[in-house]
Amino acid sequence: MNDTTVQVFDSFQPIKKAGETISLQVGQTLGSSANGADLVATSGTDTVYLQVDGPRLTLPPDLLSGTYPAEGSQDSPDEFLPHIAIDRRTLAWERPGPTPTSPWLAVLLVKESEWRGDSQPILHLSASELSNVLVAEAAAPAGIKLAPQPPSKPPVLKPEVLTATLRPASLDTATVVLGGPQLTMRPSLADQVPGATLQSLTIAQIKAHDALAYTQLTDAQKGCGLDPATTVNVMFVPNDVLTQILPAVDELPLLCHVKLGSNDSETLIVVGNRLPNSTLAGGANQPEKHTALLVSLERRSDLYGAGNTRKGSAPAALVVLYKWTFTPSTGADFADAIQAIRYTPNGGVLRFGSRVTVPAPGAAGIATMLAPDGFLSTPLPLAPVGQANYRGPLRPYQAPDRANTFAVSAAPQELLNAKPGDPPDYSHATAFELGRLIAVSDSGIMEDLKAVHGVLDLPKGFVATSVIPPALQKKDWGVDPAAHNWSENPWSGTVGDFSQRATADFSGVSSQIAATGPWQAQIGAAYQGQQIQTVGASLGQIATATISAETLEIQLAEVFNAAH
Amino acid sequence: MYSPLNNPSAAVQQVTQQLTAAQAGSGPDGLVLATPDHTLFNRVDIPERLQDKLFAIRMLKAIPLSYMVPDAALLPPESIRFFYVDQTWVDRVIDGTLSAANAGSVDVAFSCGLNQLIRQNLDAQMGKAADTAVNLASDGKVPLANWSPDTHPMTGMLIRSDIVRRWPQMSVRAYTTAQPTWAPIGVLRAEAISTGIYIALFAGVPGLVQVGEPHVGVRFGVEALDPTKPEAGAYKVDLRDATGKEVVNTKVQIPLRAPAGQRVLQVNAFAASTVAAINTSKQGPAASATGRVVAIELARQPWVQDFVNAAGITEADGIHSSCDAAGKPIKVTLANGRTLSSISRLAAQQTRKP
Repeated sequence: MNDTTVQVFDSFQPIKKAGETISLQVGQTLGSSANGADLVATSGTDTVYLQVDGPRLTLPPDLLSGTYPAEGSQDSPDEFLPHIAIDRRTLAWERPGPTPTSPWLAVLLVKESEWRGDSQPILHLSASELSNVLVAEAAAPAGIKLAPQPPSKPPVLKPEVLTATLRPASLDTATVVLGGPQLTMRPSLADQVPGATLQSLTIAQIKAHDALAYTQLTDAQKGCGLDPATTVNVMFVPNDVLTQILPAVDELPLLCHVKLGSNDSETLIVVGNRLPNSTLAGGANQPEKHTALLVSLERRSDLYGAGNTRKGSAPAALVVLYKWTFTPSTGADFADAIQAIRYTPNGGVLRFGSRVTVPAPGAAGIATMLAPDGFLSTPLPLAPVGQANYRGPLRPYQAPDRANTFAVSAAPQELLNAKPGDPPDYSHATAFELGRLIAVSDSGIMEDLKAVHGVLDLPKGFVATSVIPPALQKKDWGVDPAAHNWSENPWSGTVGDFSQRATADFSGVSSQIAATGPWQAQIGAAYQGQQIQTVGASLGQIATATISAETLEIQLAEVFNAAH
Repeated sequence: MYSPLNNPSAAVQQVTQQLTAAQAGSGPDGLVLATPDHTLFNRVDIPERLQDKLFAIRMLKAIPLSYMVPDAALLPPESIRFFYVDQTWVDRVIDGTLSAANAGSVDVAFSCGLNQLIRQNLDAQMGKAADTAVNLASDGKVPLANWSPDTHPMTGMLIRSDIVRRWPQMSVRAYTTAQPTWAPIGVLRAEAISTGIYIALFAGVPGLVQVGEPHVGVRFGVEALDPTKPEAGAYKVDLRDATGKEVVNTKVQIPLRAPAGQRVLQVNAFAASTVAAINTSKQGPAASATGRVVAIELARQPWVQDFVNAAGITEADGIHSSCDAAGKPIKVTLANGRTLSSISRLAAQQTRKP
């Protein structure tokens, strides 16, 4: 069913990388005439310089298309790699990476425990830092001089100095086992610089923790050439962890690609190179939290090979453009989970109403405890003890044809006609009562029920007609109809003059009457016999020979009112 | 509740006439009126808020779950159930709702015509919802089926499972035939109704229902090399050629960087071995080690589970014992060659003595 085509591209290289400069010089030549000379040859005097810019230290929110797993997700199986989708197809190639041709973006995945060191407290202290440490008893580890205290006792560490390094149990007992050939001492990164949280630091502040990074970020020739006062979002990853998880330089281009979706959206996708680990470590009841980082590797050759001279677990500063955390899931993935439903003691994929009795091992049977008509028989808990039938709106087989009826009461009349011994069927009575309960529990429904009403659509196609008889249909009585032959063209003439005339031409009325016949009868016909005799008599009182159009209108109304 | 409505002494004469015409009588559904086609009104005017609430009843949204599933055994944990919807039952709920505003026999007599108009109104709204769903599913390519709840069956499915909690955004599609063609059936409703229960309603009887893993965009991942030991930490992918088409029965193991416990993919070595395998298979165009090939190999499609209703498939196919006669877990191979990981746990549960 997958009819959408997705195109995948290796890369989209911008013509000019971010930070590079383009110079433009404008000129125009118009040529040429018959003798070969240009008609016009001109050039601009100034060169225009354009600096190409782009996201560098943060990912603008409008460019973020999405991350997988989602922030805070707890159910991504540990067989899926984290990735980030960015709505800017060229972004990964806009700046040089550790080498001039490699992408500068990568997704790293760091486990929570890796920020803090191992579960054993590990300390790495310089001699000067050790001056803060109270030495209690026993021997100091080989290779570390505990001056000025005598190296005869294990150090008791000040909790306020090293709380983040040591597990609470260790702090409570205030004894730290030092020694052993492989055990090095270090103050936790979280104590020095809390690596597990995203920090906003100036590049100058980074120098105290990671001088290599500082040099690389500020060096104008070999590095990024950033101002030391620039604020960046930075996280510190222990160098020994970083070297294990950082993609190799030749892997960076393999982890970036551009997807052209069916709706012409072009998305840059940067995939992580590390699978999350959902193993439950040491009695934990859920897997470790993982942090995924979109980091900038712009000119960060200090993180690779011989350039990386950081020792052991020294912090390596990474400029973080985006960060999200999630907890991988130990659970089965979707395919596993949905297919497992079929297998007992899970409930199976069945017709509604089938009730499962767990079959004997090896058997594949089911037992239906529902009647074929969909009734569930349940013992009535009330006295007298008996059975009642009930079925809801869901039925195992096709329901009988819909009843063309309306219930008007919940009184279970159906129970009256039931055969003796049949369990009463409460199905529809229950449904009816449920409807009433829905209504009475909601004042809005009660209110709206009042407003329900039938609507009679008015018949269409009628045309409004005048009831004024033709004898009186003349707007402008000021014009003699006879003179204008108006009976053939009744609405011509000086329409509009009528209202402005104080008096009108009486002859117009009489001519009209003469032309159209007995007007009283016409009025009578127009009013369909309503009190026609009276009207006729009253109309006779109007002196048509002397009346004006204006007064005729008034008098006619009076006559009508009198007649009624 | 009401005194006998067909007794002339109980109501005014007009009401009696009305009821006679409406064939009042007690049937299996209680006291019912079969109204003749009503010519008094052309249509009914219902406040929008009320219309929405009545529509919610028709879509079973306003029906409490315990009315639909009266016994927990009808929907045990980890189960899927398909059903037909009894429209008469749902009509009765609407009748009950509308009856709340009736005060007596006269009301009843006159509101019957209105009730019929309301029912037709809701039917039309349901039909429109089905049309919208079909248009959505087929991108407007399929002529509408003119489905109406009055004359066509309405069906649905209930899912009670942990998958609802973990993937509440899963998608449900339905088709008339067992083959997924452009003959979709309108999905009237598909949503989680609680943390663990999901309901879908179909405008018709589907031959195929597809429940899909939510489409969260493309994902990248690997599969356990030995499906029976996913915890071993060795992984593979099924090989695809440079166009994304699967190369049948070919897998590429994922090299991991040392130490393996860090689970870091050795992407460069993986790309090299993938390209070699593609070029050896001679399927599709020749490949080179680029980000495109790595993306194609690692991309994982969302899983789509088919539920088929066709001849030859019996009810008993929907459930199977997780252990054999000896009580040992059976082997269940999934479509992608993996083994169902939870089968041992299920078999252990089944054989556990109470």
